[in-house]
Amino acid sequence: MSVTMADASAENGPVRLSLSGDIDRANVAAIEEEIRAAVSGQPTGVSVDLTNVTYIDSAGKRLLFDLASALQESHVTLEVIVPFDSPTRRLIELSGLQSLAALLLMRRQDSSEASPLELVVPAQPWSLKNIRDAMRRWLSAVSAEPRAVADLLIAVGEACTNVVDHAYGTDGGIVTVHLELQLSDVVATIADTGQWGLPPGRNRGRGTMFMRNCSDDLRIDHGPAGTTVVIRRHLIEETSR
Amino acid sequence: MTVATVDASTDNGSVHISLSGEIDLANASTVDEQIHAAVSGQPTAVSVDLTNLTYMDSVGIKLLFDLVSLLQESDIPLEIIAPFGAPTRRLIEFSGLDSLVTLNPACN
Repeated sequence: MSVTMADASAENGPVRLSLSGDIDRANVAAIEEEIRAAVSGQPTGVSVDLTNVTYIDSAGKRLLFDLASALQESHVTLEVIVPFDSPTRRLIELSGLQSLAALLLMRRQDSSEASPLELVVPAQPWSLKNIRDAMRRWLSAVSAEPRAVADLLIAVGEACTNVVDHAYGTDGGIVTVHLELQLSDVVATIADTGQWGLPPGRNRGRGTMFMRNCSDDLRIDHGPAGTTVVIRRHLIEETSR
Repeated sequence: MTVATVDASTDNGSVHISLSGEIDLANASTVDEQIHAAVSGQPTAVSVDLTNLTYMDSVGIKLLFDLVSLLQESDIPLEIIAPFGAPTRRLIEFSGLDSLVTLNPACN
């Protein structure tokens, strides 16, 4: 087991930590000490990459929960990176950490450019910036043009704002954002499992209009199990609207 | 956290507000309060510069519509500055806000 620190000294960016190997009761205290030391300098955000973690037990999960709680109290963003297809992801999802961590970001183990981006974040206003930051990184990696980047940030931002505003009651919930390339299109899927208690108001109408203006194709599917919004936008050509 | 800076200056009775950073649901009410405070002294004119605003969506546009309504009560003209091609300018045009304010690409 090892903890690797990258950009730990970055003054404005998040502190990035990469964990690898097994995390269990035997070494969890040592890891916690290293992480606490790394985040002690009041960073703006903390990113923990679990891509190379081969095993994590309940003590390891508790470590992440404690870290998420402590950071949330000081309004520091926590991003946890786990691959789509790892046993770690399943464990993290089952543990419910995504309701506490500011951002849970999934990526495939092969970090090839075209691999999809998936974000599972609390449906809270403070998640919106995390979603944009992660999207900007991914859209830059797939060489999206500035206009396409701006359009997608707005269209996905509107869809996520709707979820934050309307999908859940006071208990809150989760919003999932999935971005993938389909030939020369970015397809963004925003999903929630809420009930959408309120009918769309005047400002909501404007949000939906912006979603339409900023995409080449827009589908909104309200179902009993939640709402799914699918936004399609060309990566290169600018929309004429 | 979403961060926006509201810089207000007064020149000969008119208030110039420069917005920078990002505006979304997380900080809109804070930005709204700061803008309202900046225009509370019955200015002769108000301009809002969006040149350095890197993100805004319908939440920010609503804030600008609310400002228009507030200023219209006292017949105070509002100028909005947004560069050609900027996403903020496109949203202003999509929403029809450009028919209620003077929209300029740069400061005079």
